[in-house]
Amino acid sequence: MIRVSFFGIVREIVGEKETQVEAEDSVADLLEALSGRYGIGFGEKVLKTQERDLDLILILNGRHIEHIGGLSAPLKEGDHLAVFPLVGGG
Amino acid sequence: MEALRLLRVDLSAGTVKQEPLNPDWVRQFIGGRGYGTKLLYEELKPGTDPLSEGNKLIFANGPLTGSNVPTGGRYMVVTKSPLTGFIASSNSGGYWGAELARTGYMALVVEGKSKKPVYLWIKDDKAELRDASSLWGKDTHATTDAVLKEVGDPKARVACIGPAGEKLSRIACIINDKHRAAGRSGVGAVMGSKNLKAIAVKGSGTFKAANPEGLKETLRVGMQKIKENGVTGEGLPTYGTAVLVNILNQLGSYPYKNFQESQHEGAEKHSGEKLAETFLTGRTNCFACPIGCGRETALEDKKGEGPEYETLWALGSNCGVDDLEPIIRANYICNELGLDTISAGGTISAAMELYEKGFIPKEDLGVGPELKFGSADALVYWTEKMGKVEGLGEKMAQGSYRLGELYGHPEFSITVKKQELPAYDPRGIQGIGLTYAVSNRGACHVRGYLISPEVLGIPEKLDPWVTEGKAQWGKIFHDLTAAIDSSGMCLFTSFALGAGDYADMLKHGAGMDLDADSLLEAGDRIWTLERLFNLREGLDPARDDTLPVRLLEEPIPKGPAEGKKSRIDVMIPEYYKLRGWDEKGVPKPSKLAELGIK
Ligand code: SF4
Repeated sequence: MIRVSFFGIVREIVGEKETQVEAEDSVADLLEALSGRYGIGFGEKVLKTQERDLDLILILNGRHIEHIGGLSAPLKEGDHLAVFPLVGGG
Repeated sequence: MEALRLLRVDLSAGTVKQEPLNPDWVRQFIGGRGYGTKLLYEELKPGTDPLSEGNKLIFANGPLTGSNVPTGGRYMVVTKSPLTGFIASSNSGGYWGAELARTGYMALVVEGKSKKPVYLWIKDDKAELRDASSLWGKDTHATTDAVLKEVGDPKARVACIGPAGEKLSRIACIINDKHRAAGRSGVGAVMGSKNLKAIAVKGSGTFKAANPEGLKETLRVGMQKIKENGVTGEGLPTYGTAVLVNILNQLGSYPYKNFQESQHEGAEKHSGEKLAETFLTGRTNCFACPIGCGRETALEDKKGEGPEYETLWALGSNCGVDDLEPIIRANYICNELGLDTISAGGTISAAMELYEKGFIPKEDLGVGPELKFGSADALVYWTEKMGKVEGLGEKMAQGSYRLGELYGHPEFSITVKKQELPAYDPRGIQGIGLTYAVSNRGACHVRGYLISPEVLGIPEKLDPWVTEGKAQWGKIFHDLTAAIDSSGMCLFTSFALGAGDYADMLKHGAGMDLDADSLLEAGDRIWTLERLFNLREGLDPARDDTLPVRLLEEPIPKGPAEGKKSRIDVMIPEYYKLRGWDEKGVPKPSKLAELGIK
């Protein structure tokens, strides 16, 4: 299983803090599966992320996915994906 | 409004005097941070004791402060810092700066020392010093209320110090509009050393754009970018800065217990998400700000603003504290007593490590709770003692470096140039470490917020673990930030806007002849002049452009960034070179000629 945690506005959109998902091949596949589960609000965020590489900050086991293969980063049993909206601060 | 002027206040003589601004300095240094730096550089006698009457305290707006450009309400406080001994330049928002602009003054230069406590009351072009004996000892909220009552204008705006500034705490800030702080480097102590309790301002002027039509179009474009940008259009308005807690913690670059570790299991308990579920009561914004990142909060017995991300970390994880309630309470205390929250948290965390390792003896605590990591009681109690400069709090109020030195272990002070580090571990995020090390005002994240590319991916995602390219990114960010800080706008707009946008606003708003390149060049000039100021005040780059030994030698012990250490040693030589400085970190004559600095 893959543990997925949600933060910020994404947590509000999906309505939960955390979930467990059957292992998928890649982050992209996992997001597809989650879009199916959480519907349009989450799906839109995912779509925008695919298009612009923005909108979601995706951290897999403590690494931003950009540095481990992007959306095609492979997944394995026991991984943890943290899903954040694009935010900023100082 | 007529041409902007400067007000010189001589507290020793008790006089005020109007002066014109120097147009060459405006052209070269813009205003705000840049103009203030130039003024200090030209006027301050080298080697002046920061807390002596010889020091000068400068409040400087940018040319766009008080205008309708987005976030055009910022001012800077520039002086010689009693914390670092180098340049202090602290930025603040709220409404005070914009009100000062309406009086027709762009800058105030406060010199000398008053014999008794006074406050300054500026109403349009008239200014007078008034007795503040009855205000001395009051906190910033009570002071603000009392001054507003006395000047008889509830719409006036007040910047003031609390007891921490009066008692010369080297980590004291200046608070305006009750909740906004010119926070860092001990600027509040300089104000206190001059016996100046507050500055109240009220003006009736209005901003006149140099080219109203041009500005209108520039604003349309700028506002659209701010609205459409994920950070400025959604992230900051919805969650403020606090949402960063979980991100940095997930990355394992969220310093815990005075940087002994870099991930905190209890962080979720004081995250932005938790704050939104619990103590959050509303949103606030500064003057002319379409972003509105400010948070209103309330405890059972008190309400206020914040805490921001930096404060949540400094008073939370850095002290090992999980829960929001004591963090919010300590944040309120800092604002009321006038302490910089980052340095306050960094000093308590250092005191906790000193105590736990046996270097602060128990008897020095008096009746206070033990300085143990994770103790909410200790956090609240010692924040108050520090703000009131009492007991051990008196020693802590001098900042962690002096505290550590006093107890024989300055290595537990996590500081650069004696100023406490912000909330990003430079071992796990290499570029921000470069910013900390070379920042002219000591450790600081907002001199060049490399977190934007290294963590958030704006404008593009850089790997936080690598050093390659960070010197180039650092230089651009440092220069751009220096220019933004001089314009009167908020740095947070830079998630959405670029150098060209700021240049256009200054061009159409203030009639300045700037484009993206010359704006960055002005930033380079400002940064370089700050450097010259520091060198004149005794900066030794080999000793001072560095990070605490812990971050260079002790790897992050666990978590995703396990094993990482800061590699500023590779970035700094490259950075000096890009700046046109020699290998020792001194600007070369050719660079000064290029920038037109004599
Ligand atoms: S973005 Fe936040 S800090 Fe900046 S001006 Fe707006 S409310 Fe103030």
